[in-house]
Amino acid sequence: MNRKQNFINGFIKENPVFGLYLGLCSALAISTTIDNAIGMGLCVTLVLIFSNVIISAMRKITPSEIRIPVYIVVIATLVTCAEMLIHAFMPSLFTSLGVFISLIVVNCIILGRAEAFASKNGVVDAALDGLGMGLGYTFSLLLISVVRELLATASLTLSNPFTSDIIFQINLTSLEAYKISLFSTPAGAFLTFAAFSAVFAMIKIKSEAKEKGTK
Amino acid sequence: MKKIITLTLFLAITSAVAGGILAYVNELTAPIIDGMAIEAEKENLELIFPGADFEEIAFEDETGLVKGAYLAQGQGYIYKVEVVGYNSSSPVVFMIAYDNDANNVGFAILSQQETSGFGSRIDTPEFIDTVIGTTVNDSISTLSGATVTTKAVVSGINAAKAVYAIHAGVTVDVQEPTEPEAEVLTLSSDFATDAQIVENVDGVYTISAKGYAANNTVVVTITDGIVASVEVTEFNDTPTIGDLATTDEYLSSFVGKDQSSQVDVVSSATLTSKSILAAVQLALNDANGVVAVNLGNNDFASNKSEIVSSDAGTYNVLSYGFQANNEFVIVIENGAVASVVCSTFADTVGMGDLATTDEYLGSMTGFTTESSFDVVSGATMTSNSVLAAVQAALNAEVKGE
Repeated sequence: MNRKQNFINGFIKENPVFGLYLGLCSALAISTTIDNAIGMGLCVTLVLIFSNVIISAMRKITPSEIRIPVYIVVIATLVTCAEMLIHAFMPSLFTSLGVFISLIVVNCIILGRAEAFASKNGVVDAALDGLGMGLGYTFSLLLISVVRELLATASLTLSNPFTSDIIFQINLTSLEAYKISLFSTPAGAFLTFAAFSAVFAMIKIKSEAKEKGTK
Repeated sequence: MKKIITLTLFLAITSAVAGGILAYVNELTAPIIDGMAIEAEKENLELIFPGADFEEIAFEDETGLVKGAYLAQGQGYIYKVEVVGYNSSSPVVFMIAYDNDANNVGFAILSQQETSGFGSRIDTPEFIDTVIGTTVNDSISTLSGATVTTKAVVSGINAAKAVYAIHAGVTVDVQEPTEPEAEVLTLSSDFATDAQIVENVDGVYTISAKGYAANNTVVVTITDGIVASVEVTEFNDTPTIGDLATTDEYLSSFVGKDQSSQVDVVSSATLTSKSILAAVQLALNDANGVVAVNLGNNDFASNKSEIVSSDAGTYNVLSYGFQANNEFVIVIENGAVASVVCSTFADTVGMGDLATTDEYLGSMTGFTTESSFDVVSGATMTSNSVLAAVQAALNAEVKGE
């Protein structure tokens, strides 16, 4: 498996949300707006890259009996740092994400990648894996949140998390009368998630069939 | 043995390094986060001490109601308090401030979603003015008709007082809220509560009367013109609040009452008890005939009557009835009523129009300011509006001469 494939895997085939069904709790809860999705996604990506790099760097000196507690300490430290930094510099994002920032600690994507990949591969590979997985997660959140925000509010707003200034805003005034507020609720999250999962499963099955055919 | 020590040591070192990093990041971000908290609250703090230097201070509060404590340099202390009043889904948030001499110098409601017209009265001068100017040792009165909300707010104020006592280093004698004197109503007065007789079987009246949230059904038994028993058969007001007025003790206090008797209103359940009073009144009125209302002395202040036009003794009068303005054309000749016609009727059809029948209106012919009128039972508000209109026309004619 080469590096490029490693990186791309995170998007479609091993997409953490739609492919591996990891980190669903936070993905469903915070994907109400694209602001939240991007904020959460990038936060997870950064934590994932750093945790992968640190764990990979420590893999040779970490005794295997206590590797899980060590991983947890590393991840929890990174997440707590991220939480404090977000609170200080992106207060609006902190308010809208709330408890889900601290819950990144128990996001199985991170521990999963630490155990499955970072502990067995070199630092550069681990970083790339973290970046790919993190962006895959961000990409999935963005997909869900675009659908949810659009259907629930008939508009899309992206704002700068540091200053809360609006970067761009699309208002579909013609659809204003057809808003479906269901999509801002957890039920809407499940519906959107199920639809995307089906699409991703279809792509996966097709490409696997193709591979078999060529073999 | 050596293995265990290695493992322990490794984990300890990892944790120590992690702790060090966390401490560093915390040191970096804590001042910014604290600064933001003050900044976010500054607008509210400025309401009370404009232009002061604020500092967030630590506090201990057993009740959990106090959410923030701020020191205004050289001026006093401000507390942000959240309490749950009547509306359990949205708390009442307010700021309360005491200066260094333990006087209340500020009280501002920041947000509240209490019932409009009842609990929402905490955000009016009616309540706010009773708080500002008190010392920490004073008791604060609740508002009748808004008891639940005001009690909650006073408990929050008391929590803030306890915190203030520690901050300012004084002893505070925290007082329980005082309840206003129980309202006493005479059964002949008008409660303006919407009540209607559903059934009358030999003096056993089933009456539907509007309480706080919906209609309550009250069964009133009248024997020989006085109340023999009162029973609430259907209760639709707030459980644990309105039902303070449906206790056996309260209901039995009506036994033996007649139209001139006085009855207490239950604090915290003002509207429910008024609905019961209205039902008892309606039953008594129906059994005994309505107390005659003297037109000259009695002031129908609640009915806003307005003379729209007058021409040689013919008056067009707008008079507020049960739900809207009714319009009357009243002709006065030689200081006495010559005719009353209801030209526009806007009250409830089937109820209010009992007071606009030709028979009732005709009964007024020849009456002067000295005459007494009967109020039509079941159409009290509308007949009051007729009476108010006639009174307005008569008064205008008498003053005009």
